[in-house]
Amino acid sequence: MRVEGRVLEGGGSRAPVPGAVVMIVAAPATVRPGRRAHEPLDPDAVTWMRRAETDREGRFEVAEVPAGMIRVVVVSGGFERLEQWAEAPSSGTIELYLRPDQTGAYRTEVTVERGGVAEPDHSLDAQQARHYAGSGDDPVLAALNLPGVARSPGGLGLLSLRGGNPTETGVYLDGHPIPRAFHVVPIASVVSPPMTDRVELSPGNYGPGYGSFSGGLIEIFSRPGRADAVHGQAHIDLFDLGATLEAPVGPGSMNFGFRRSHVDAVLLGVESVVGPTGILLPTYWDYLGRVDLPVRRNHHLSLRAIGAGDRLRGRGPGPSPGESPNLFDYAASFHRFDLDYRVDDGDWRVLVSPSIRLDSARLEQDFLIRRDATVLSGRVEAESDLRENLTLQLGSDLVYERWRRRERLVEEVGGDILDADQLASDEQFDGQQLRLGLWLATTIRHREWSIVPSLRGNLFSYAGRQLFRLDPRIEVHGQVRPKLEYFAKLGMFSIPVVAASGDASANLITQNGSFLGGVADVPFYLLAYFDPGIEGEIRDGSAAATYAIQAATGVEAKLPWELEARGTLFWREVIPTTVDIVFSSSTIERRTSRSRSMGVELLLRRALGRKLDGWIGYTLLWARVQPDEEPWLPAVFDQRHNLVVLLSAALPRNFRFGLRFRVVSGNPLDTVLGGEATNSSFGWYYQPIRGERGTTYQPVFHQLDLRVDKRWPLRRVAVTAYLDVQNVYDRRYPEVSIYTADWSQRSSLVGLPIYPSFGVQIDY
Amino acid sequence: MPRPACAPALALALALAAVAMVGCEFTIPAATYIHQTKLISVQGSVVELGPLNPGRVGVPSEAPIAEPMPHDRFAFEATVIDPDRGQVPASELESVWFQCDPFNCGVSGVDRIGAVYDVRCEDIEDLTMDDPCRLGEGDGRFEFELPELGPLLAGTRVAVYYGVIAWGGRSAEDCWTARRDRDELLERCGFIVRNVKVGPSWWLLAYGDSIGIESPIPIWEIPAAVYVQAANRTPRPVIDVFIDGKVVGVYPEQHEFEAAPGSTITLVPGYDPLEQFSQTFFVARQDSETSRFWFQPGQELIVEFPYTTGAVHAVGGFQFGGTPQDFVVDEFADPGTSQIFLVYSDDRYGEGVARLNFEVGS
Repeated sequence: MRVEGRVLEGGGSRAPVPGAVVMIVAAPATVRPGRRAHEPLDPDAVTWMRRAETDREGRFEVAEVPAGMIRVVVVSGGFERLEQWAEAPSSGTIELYLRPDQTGAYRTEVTVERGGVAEPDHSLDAQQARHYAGSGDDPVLAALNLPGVARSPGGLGLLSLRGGNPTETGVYLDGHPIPRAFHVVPIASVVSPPMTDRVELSPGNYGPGYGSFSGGLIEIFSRPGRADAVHGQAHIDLFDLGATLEAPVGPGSMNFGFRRSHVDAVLLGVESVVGPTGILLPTYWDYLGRVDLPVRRNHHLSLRAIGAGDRLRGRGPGPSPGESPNLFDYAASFHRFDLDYRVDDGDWRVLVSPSIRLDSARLEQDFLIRRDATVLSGRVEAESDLRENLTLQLGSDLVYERWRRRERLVEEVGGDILDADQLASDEQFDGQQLRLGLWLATTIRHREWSIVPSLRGNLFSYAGRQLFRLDPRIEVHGQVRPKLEYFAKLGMFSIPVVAASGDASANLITQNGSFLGGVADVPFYLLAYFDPGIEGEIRDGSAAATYAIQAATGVEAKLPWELEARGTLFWREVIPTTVDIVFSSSTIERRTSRSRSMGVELLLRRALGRKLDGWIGYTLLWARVQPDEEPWLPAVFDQRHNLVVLLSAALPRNFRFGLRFRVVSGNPLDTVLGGEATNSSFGWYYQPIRGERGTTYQPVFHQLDLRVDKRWPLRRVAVTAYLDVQNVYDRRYPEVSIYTADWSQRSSLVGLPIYPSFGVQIDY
Repeated sequence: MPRPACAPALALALALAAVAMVGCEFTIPAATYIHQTKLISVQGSVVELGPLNPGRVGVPSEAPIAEPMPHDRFAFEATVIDPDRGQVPASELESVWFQCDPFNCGVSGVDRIGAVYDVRCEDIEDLTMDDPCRLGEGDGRFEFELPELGPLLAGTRVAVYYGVIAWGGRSAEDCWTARRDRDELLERCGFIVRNVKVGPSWWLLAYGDSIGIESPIPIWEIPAAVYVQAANRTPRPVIDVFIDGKVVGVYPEQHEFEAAPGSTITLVPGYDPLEQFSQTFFVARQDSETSRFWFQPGQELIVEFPYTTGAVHAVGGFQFGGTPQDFVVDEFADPGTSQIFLVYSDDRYGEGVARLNFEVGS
């Protein structure tokens, strides 16, 4: 008799397992085909045996099998041994699902590429990073544990790199910029975790293919679909639910995923029972779809659609019929459509990638501000290995934004002369801005050394002014010992400087906002995080450009026990410039601040451990800002010491345990010394009188987060549940202070309490 | 850009919820309850009319004029409340007063251009209301004469003064030094950016025009009728006092009341309609198409804010004028005197304080 079968990876992957050894022996007549054999095979009882090996598709075929019940034994490296009952001859193809060996189910891989054209400092595999403790299943949040990244308050997605302002960090997705990396509330990146392939981080120097920001670069890459079979994933946790589907499409593949929060639905459901709670309603959603097709040999086409949105609603008590129940309503979203065409002919490679992004932001209270923008982004890269020791890369990137704006304003209160600017109005206006980069880079290799000099030209066209700046950059890598590499980076990074009309803040969150009878002293960097930034546009003629100089040098070593160590010394200086703020009848000169940061980053990691992996990251930072001709002040993220211990361990029975422990210096405080009253048309209001920043600091932050994953690999699906508990020992850290209304007394401190997060995921 | 005051609070609640997942302990004293000595009001009034347009006093009234013209003599009077003793006598206070540049005062202005406040106003030749300088020193009360009109002030028509008030034995000079150095907690000090409407605007602009200061409105576009507008006066409330729903007296005829522990006090302020009618003012609005101004009569907006001491606590807070305000007396209050201070102000910076004493019995 003949027995045919196929050996596949179980637990939702269903990838074929090639090279697996399949053995068939006799079985008692009473067994039930398809069931697992719980009693292990007794070698002494074997009377006959047939043997085969699976091919590339995981298929096997065994001839001359005696008719009747049989025991099939499958053994393959990296998988648990399978013993299953069957019957000969087989009716069709037997499908045999192997469970991956759980001691190596997940591996932490923080990889560091070497020798290419300006590779990122860190690259994080997204699917592995999802299981890190304290990151709520989000690989982009997990990247914030790397050296050089400041601790962000409350686990928010603030990307302060090497002490810089989070607004100075470049955020890219698949080669093109995106408006923000994170949804506002709850905290989640704008790319659904299952759709994320990897996260690359350069906290300082970054490659010549990018420009216009001084604070480093984070780039998220989406994941192409698998082409072997149809797969999917569904998940639900406390905040959102989502699903993905990937499948072969012709010779290529597709991958689509969406996610939507359900916090608002839960709140509204609760309110239908208990009545109005007054809690604000956050909503967020995102989607990503991509099709990847090999067009012809070495030619590859990708089409992508990406979108994300947030909405926050504050509801007033008892709205009149026909009136909106919302005291304010803020919504922001973007949709992006990319084409990505790559040719890789071995010695030369070409990328052409145009993209169009549609942005929309709206804030409505008694006034309305709406901003819509069309952003055209393009990236062209060509790279050729001219010789064995010489690679040439050149390219161009373009970001062109055309915006349209509507402002419906209410009449200004107070005053007895109201000119046209102070009356109720409903106006629309538009504008455009552009930044264009052209770059040339070479990689010259000599023995164990490589040098990457590059030159990037930047054209900034903002506020009707055109400015051209050149950025020379250089990288050196050398294998100074068999297990020791040296690297050094130095470069200029030009940045546009603009002055906005208004204060570029919609006051959605105010620093001195009243809160339960007091005032909350919300730090400026939190304002920037929550602020939609739609109040002001760039004022005509009010543009200039300056640059940052960044330098880094260090070594990377391979150590025993699969340990790797990396040490980096870094320095960054942002040079001040003068920007003219142009008003209708006058011009004011404003001098920007000089900022300087320097320090050391250390990373000790065990990336390939089978049972235990993770890293210990430490940053020693000194970051200062010097406002125009004034004394130096600490930067807002001047966190002197930042230690992160991140460990992940595989346990028996498909459990996995994760741990994160952080000890971080506190941020410098703008200490409140007292309050200052102002009489207005509506009575008195108070502003804080602050001391010099840095005369006091927040206390040292320390927090332990734990995570447990349990995976149930079934034949066609795998079910995973996780419990991620942040701040296990409930350390109340004062992120925000609550003051009395007149700022005379600090009454309360607000910090993150112990915070569990639970989620379930099904992989098909 | 004007926005409802409550919106930031709601948005802020979201921010804090996001940051902290509401992991905090809120023990904030109510803004209305005076738990430590506090500056609650600075009243401003004309004490002697200058030579400009004496007819602006309008209908005779006992209410102080809160809207001066240049060369008037003007006074500030600070109200500081000690939670145990009540209002601190003016003689126990110290003050230093500064005239601000109309666009730079307070947290931003004083910190940025602090050195100009070292100059005494009388040392400035051809002093105008645009020049930042040190006006002088006083106790709880400070008098000065408004200098000549300047072009910046003609544009804003709101003079801005910076007041430093000290109590409890601390000198105002010490408070001011600490304020500028910003290196210690500012205890026993009060700081106020005090706006003062100057006018009436039409008289002020006409006067400015006569001394060569360009008017934001062409003088010929100002109709003669608006010149009848009287100077703003501080509102004068008449307050019906209810305890547990029963009228027990009317302020200002009566200041002293008795209340039992656990009782509810209700204040119902009212403003004399005739007096308010005489406070009618005009608002000039620009036609966005023709750029010409037209004038519309307006009624002043009055707001009230309560403060309490002792066993009395306000149920609400900020209210528009004439809205009943509820207070409760501690159920287990010890016998003694508690006070309610109702600060009332109009939208042209006229400001006053009603003081009501409640003897809480056993």
